[in-house]
Amino acid sequence: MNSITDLIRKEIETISMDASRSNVGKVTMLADGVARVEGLSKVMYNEMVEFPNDVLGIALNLEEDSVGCVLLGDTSSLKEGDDAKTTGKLLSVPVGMGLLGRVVDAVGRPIDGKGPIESEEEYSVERIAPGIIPRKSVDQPLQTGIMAVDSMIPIGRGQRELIIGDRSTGKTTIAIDTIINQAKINKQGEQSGKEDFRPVYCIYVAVGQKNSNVARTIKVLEETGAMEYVTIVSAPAADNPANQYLAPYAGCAMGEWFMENGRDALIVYDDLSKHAVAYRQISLILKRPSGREAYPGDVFYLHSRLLERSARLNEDNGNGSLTALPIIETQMGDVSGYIPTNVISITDGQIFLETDLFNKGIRPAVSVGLSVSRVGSAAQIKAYKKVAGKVKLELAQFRELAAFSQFESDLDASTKARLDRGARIVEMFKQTAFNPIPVEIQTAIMWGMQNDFFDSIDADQISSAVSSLKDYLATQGKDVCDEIYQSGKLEESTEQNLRSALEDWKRTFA
Amino acid sequence: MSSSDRVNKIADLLLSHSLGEDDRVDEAKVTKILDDLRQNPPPQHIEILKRFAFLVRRHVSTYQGTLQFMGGDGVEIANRLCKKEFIKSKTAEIKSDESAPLIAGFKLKIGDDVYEDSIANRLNNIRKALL
Repeated sequence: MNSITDLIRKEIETISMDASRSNVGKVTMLADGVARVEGLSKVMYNEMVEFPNDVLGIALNLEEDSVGCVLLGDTSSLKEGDDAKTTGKLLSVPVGMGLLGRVVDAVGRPIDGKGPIESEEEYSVERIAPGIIPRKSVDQPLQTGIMAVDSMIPIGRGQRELIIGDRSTGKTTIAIDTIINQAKINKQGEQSGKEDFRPVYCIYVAVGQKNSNVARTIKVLEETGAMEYVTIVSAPAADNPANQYLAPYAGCAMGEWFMENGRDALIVYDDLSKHAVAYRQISLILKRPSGREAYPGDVFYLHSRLLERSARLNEDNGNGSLTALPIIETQMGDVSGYIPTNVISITDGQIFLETDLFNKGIRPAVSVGLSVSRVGSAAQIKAYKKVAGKVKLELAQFRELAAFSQFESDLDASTKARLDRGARIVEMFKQTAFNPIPVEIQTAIMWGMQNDFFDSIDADQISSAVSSLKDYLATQGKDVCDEIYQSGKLEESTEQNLRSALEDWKRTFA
Repeated sequence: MSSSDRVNKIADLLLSHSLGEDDRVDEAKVTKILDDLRQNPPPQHIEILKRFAFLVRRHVSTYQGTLQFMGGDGVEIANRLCKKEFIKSKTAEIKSDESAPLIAGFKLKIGDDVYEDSIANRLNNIRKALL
């Protein structure tokens, strides 16, 4: 009992009892989560404004005779004529390790029923991105566990790689697979006791999603044991547009804490199309001038200032990183839309997912021609680079030849060989959802493909062969995989061991 | 000149003609201006009146205030605050009222600024911190 009263006494001692000075105004208009307030002559841009019944707002439009505020939380209790007052504070969210394993809303309040967040620090949601001097080039890989991505579109820590595609093409699955893979790598690294091992913590920001989808994502992450490394920031479709607008910035602030404290973090923005729509809604109600597709003029800045906050810091600044995987939904595969082109130009590459490939059963439905990683190849491990170097070219050639070969009745031997190889690579890259493959096993499989171990297997049997090889490498072939994992290189001796392991597997598979 | 610029310019002129020698809004002058406008309504009459009302309200709020207090020397404190912080060369016109909900202390409002030191405010701060 005493401890409880002590706790309350301590809390009261921290409360300021001085006379307060505030700047006030009156609500003159309320609509769709936005309030127009007359007065508030000393309010600052982005300052938190307090309304009755503990409702908070953010001052976004400062005009000569009124202020436009976006409202956070339940606004049903507010009415015209209510008082609003400045707080002198910018919107902040809790940050730190206490957020791992938790689901929070756009302002960092827990919504998972697991009690209060244990956090001693708060970061402002709007922060200036790191400048040029504290940054360094991407040089460390961030393995997604997806063969098609890690081999052809490698991602490095600190990179911003866009995942883009139509609805139901597997965009979220790629992001979730990546998160699951980080958790697997983190556990493996912690067990290995490597001194230089750096875990990657993940933040998943759900903007404008259905609550059922968010619940499914949480379930998958819990079932795969990844949740302990993940924070979920949720601003579902039912949430007001202000929360949807703020959620990515709040998630980014949480990720920045890891980066600024010398740790690595990954943030997924799912998705920025809905974020732009929420911002458009706010802007239209605030009566800001609208431009193309009714988006306001600063919709590019909306995303550029968010994604610029992802960076790789140099050793003098703690060597931390924040990798971003923004997601954009296209309409009918049109990548030339307003928001898609904006985000494509901001990011360091994109993974484009095609509906046709998805419907043909090629999953993940990565389009080789339209996908690119501008900086990630510098971060690929040597062993993987050695085996994956030519794959993208081979696959692109295959797609081109496959299109032309439909008109040819008689093909020369070299064309036929290329088509055969391409068909096998396509089959090899097929991968089930939520089943990321460790990089050492990926390397071994790719090495097997490069060294003709799959040539005698029918193309329609490749998937089961890859699955069988995966099982073999995880059990009997574990030593050679460990060798690749430890050294990160493919030495001559490793290749010999790999060859004998694959020959052994081939006998059992046949 | 756009129509809104024209409205703003006319409203500014009307305000300057409404001020007395002490730089305060003179009620007689305002009444005369309103009569004139009624007899010879200019284009965008309503917009001009709305803007004029806003400017008058903003100007008046720089020297008129309200004070709510309960117990103690609320009026004396308010006058000192006005001299120190808000009014400078002008003398404040404070309408004061006793207000039981404050429990004790005062709440002074001049323009958009509110100075408050009351038990009710302190209790509210404690409530917010503990919730």
